[in-house]
Amino acid sequence: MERLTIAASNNLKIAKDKKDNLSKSEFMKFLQLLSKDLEPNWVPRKSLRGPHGITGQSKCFHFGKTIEILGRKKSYFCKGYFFDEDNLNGVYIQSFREEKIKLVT
Amino acid sequence: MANCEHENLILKKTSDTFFGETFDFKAEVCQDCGAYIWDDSVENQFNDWLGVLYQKKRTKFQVQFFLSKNAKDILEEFSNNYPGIPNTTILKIFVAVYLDIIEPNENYKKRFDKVIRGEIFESFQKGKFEKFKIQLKPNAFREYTAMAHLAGISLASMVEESVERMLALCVETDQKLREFWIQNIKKEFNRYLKVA
Repeated sequence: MERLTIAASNNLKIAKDKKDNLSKSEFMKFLQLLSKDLEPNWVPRKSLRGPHGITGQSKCFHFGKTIEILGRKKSYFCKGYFFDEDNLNGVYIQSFREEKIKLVT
Repeated sequence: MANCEHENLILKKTSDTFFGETFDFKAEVCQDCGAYIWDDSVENQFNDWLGVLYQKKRTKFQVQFFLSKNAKDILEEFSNNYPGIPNTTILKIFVAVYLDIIEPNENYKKRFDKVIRGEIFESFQKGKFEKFKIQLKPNAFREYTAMAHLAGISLASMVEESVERMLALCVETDQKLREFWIQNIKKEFNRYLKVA
């Protein structure tokens, strides 16, 4: 969590679309509201293309987290990687979106 | 595409909608899914655009909300302690203190469980309502809009509820909450007031 905060304050790049993925403003607010003991999952990065693809960390982090604002709870999913390898020059967020709960009927 | 790795990026002109207005800008756009990369360059373009929007359409940055008669009476009483300070300034500081200081602090947030179950807060949902308006600066508007978006509510609802929570707290009679108000929150209010 601390690494994510430092990297985001150094250089944040975030993929935003017009549907699900949210903007930098929402991500920065989300970071402020996250608990400090966050433990993400790590997976090998699939591609060397994209922003900082070659110099970025070879593993991606991803996590889902529920936050509460004025008593309203919502879950968000976040996936990205730090750049550069073994360094906190910045972070590239490949996906930051609301996690919709699927109702089984 | 939710799982796109955004491998196929090219720099081009694109647009997106913010606050009901079209923002035209240049960014790296993914040819596979249409997502764009929000980096420092887009951030600079956005800030410039937001500044121009603020100059041209200042009313867009106004937030209108409603307070009950009881809430209004408490606001009037509270503002008597701050002669010369307009109510709109007090309301803006209430919003800033609640959203910037209290919401991100789990310990502070917990104290409000009791406040919102109390009679005073409940009274804010009844009776005659009066319209209030506050004018926000672009950065505050952007930040609070993002927060409301994350919460899944409108900016007006978030502002209204933040003000109600602060008004209910400042007249709390519960000893512990009274101390919390005086020792923690009122200090923050006065700190914000200095720079308002």
